[in-house]
Amino acid sequence: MLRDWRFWFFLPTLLALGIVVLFPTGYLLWMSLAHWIITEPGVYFDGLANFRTLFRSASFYDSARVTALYLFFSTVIMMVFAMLMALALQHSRSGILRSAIVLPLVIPPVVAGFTWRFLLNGEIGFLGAWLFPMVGLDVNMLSNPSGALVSVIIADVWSRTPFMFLIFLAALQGIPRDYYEAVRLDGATAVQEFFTVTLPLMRSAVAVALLFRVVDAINTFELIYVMTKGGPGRATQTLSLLGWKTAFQNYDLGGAAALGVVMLVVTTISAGIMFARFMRKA
Amino acid sequence: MSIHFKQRALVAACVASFAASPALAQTEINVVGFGAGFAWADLFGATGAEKTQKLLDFEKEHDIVVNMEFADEDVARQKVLLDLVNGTGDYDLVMLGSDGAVQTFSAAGYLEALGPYLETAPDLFDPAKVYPPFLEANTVAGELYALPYYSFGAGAVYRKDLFDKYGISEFPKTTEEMATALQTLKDGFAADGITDVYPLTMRGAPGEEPSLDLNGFVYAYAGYPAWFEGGPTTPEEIKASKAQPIFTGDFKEGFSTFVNWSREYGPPGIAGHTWVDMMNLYAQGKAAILFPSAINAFAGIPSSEVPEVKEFSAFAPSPAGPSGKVVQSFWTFSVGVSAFSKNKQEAYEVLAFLTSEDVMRDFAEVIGWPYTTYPSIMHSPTLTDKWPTEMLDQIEASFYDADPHYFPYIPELTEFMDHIGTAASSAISGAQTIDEALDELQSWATERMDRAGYYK
Amino acid sequence: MVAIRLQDIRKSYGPVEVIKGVSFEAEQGEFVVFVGPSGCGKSTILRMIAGLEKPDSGEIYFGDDRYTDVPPGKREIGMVFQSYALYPHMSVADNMTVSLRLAGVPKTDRRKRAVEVARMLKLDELLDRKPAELSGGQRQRVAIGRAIVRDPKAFLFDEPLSNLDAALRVETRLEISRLHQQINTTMIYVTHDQTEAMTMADRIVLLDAGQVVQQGTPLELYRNPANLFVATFLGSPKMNVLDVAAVSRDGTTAQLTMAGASHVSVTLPSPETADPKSIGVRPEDTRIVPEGEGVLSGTIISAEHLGSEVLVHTETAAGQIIAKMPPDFSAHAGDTVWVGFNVARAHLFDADGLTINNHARQ
Ligand SMILES: Nc1ncnc2c1ncn2[C@@H]1O[C@H](COP(=O)(O)OP(=O)(O)OP(=O)(O)O)[C@@H](O)[C@H]1O
Ligand SMILES: [Mg+2]
Repeated sequence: MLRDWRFWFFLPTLLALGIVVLFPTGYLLWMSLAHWIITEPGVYFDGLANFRTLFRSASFYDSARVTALYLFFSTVIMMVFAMLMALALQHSRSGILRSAIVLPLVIPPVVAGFTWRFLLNGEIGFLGAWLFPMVGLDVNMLSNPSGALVSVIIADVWSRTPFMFLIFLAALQGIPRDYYEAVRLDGATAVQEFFTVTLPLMRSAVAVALLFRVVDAINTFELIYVMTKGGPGRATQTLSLLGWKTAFQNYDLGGAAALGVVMLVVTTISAGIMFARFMRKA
Repeated sequence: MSIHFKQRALVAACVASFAASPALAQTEINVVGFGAGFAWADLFGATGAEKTQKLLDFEKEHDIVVNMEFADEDVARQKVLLDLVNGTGDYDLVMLGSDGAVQTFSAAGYLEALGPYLETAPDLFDPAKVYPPFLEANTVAGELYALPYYSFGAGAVYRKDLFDKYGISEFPKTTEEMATALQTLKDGFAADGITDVYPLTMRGAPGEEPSLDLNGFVYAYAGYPAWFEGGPTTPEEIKASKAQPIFTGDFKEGFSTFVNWSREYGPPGIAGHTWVDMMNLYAQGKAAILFPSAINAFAGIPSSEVPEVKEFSAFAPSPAGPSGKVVQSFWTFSVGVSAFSKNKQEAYEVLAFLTSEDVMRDFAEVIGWPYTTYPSIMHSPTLTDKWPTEMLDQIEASFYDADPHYFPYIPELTEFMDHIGTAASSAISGAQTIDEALDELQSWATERMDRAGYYK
Repeated sequence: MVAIRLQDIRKSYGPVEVIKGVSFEAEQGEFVVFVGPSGCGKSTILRMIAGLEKPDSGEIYFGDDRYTDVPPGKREIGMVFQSYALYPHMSVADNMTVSLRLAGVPKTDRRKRAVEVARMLKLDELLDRKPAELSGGQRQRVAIGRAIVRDPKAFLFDEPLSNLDAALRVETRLEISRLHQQINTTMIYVTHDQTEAMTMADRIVLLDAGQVVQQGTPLELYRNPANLFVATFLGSPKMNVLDVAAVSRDGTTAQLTMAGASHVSVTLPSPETADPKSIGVRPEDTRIVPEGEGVLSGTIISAEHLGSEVLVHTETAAGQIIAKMPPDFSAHAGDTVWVGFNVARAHLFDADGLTINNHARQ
């Protein structure tokens, strides 16, 4: 291998990758095994104690449940919306329409969170205090435990669908026209056309979108923090909010790292499954 | 909690650093903080990225360059924590709150005790000239760790016109009278068909923020900081008596009152409300009383578009609970010297300057709220021109009435505040009953204290 | 019986009219080739027959029924695309039977049909492969198989061979012809390659700029091109065309003077015909001859030895001329030679490029 010039060619890249990826991961692993709580001075190796504490804490399971719900519903809704919008707009040349759809993407999550928070506010918000009561929806979205989860999902869908839409649109536009024409000649209805041609040929785009989505959803922080702070109670406290609380409110850096490791493993496994499932050579 | 500023809503993160460093020999002091254009606007200008003449004069006189780095509040807090944990000393001065940071960081040895420095710059900062409770709030185990920049005590701001309308002649002096008044207001609104004005606005969002007010209720009902048996407030006291958490005991009455008042008299979204919502609701004329963190009403009144809010808002001292102690809400926003700073003396000089009477007077002038850390400013035209003397006197009295240690000063403070606040939010939203929330809090606290080694 | 009839079809894209009134008929079982230069509108016409595009005006009939507005799925047309359009995620069998699946035919019947058709196309071994695992020629056959499976009223091919290499192209050409004989269904085949047109077609429809220029059997078009365009489009190598500088006529005999003071004498169909403005002679009617016997002198630029013949390219005063010579003819670049024509087979064109003489007898 050392004789192969390609090895030397790639060596710098490998080293850079090692430093950029492996070092922080290694550090995270080490931290997760350390007793490192600022309120109890002294940093030392503590085996799996952090993981034991984590797996024994009710808030971990609570947050895992919230994260799963949030991940599942936001992803499904987002996929459907992004797909419908991409299908509707694939032939449109209107730059204005497309820019309007993509706009939320350039709005930082913090601002998006604040905006939705004010819109949904049950006392003074345009939606929460005016529109919802007008159509007979008498629920205070942000202070009701399930309403709050629905609210952050709505906001997240609003702010992240455009990204998926762009991936889908690019994929759609990359499907050669011949495929559609062939299937139309074979007598396909619009629905059959979608499931015979469109969806299968978008398979890897869907996988990529899903991959981004899962990682994104598991790591969503600002939006939820700004909208509900994880509340009311712990109704919208996802794993990443729990991680933030563990590190910056509880000052338990080891515990937060342990949670980080768990999230990393979960994300990697989901990504792996998705890869195996969708990215296999067609 | 803490001072979040309005601009924050849109300014996601703003980091300003100064390239200018005139002479190499000068000491550079790095400060991290939040609220650009608000905090020390008299020194760093409206953008937080300038240097006013006043600051330049200070730098010249002391041969120090002050590098201010503003960031979004959460970002700033994280930067402070990470910098201290890693012991880099990159930041010489760090912003702190008396709701946990001062207690935790001092215990961890991250903050320099300021006692020995106080004599070194008496012309800039003289501890005898500021309200004592604000220093006390930054004092842990007898040592002063930070100087107050912005602080407040408890009180109520209420709408006199609405009180008059429903025949309440004066603001309640006890929580019992307060409950009656709230019910009167509620019945009155109901009878008049008013559905979008609420008797009370408080904050009930999860996390540490509402805890500041909620613990004020606990203190007023129990008569002491009722977290642990016997009411110890320092780690030493807790360890000595092996005092167990009493969140299902004496803590409960104040907690329940806070939750019940929120549910009965507060706005429907209160379980998610922070100081911003509290402020907005009051400013928009949708609440008759804002309590007990009166500061949040004063933050909203100047920009209110409801004439009655501007005309009929009045301040009242916080009512007393069954124990005779008043409901507390006390907080100070301060600045401390990092234990890892390489230029502690110069850092202290900058700190003394930043909290000096002169600078604080300009700050009071800029924001115009009836709060300050210096009695001399409180009674000067800076505030007396804007506010009735009687109100200023009452606010001042609330400072002296305050017991900054109305919750224990333990390193785990922020964590406890967070759990307490989240329990309240849960109970207010109905996700849990009061008993369920407190049982959970109690068992978590027992386990946590045990794990922290208090009962060894 | 007429299988497909187009009646004055017009089609514009935006302001540009790309099909300018095309009419044509294909008999049941006929193999019709649309040929013409790139961009002349061949694909557009094919797509209108398939229903993938709508004509702006004009009518399309299948048999006696008007099909102009019938959606593509209802036309029972089998189309083979240039790209093949095979679904990468489906096996060969599934690809071939998509139309059956869409129509709700049960799986076992589909498989049976796939096997049948695969046998016909020698694809039986490959039924369970994915398109990515096939060679170009195999993919091409799968695409044809997909069209066959549904027993269409007609096959449409849009340049189906253009992605294949030369050898495979010849082979597949033969296979398609054989297939046509076997199933005897009307086929409409689009190409811009005149060799394909000449070798495969029962009838060629030659298009230029959205119009039919001439149609007929390959031989008719080859021998009697209606105009200069047809004359030069069909045939390889191309027909030699020389400008006529002066004409002196005597009844039906005309003496043509070309550049370089060369002369030929030709016979006109009648004394009234217009003066020829150019003369065309195919390379096989052109010879390198001994000095004095030829019409023009020229210099050899190159000689292509094709084994069965030699193509001699010469530069003359009247332009480049290609002569087809027997395989043992020896020619060297730079040699000065004489070029002669079989004048009896010359094509004469008037000022508008229309053919003056006819070669019906040949
Ligand atoms: N969708 C379209 N929009 C605009 N112009 C088009 C469209 N499709 C075809 N054209 C134009 O119509 C003309 C005929 O196109 P067509 O594809 O039928 O040509 P063709 O004869 O098949 O050419 P080729 O041999 O290159 O495939 C061309 O000038 C082309 O640019
Ligand atoms: Mg074409």
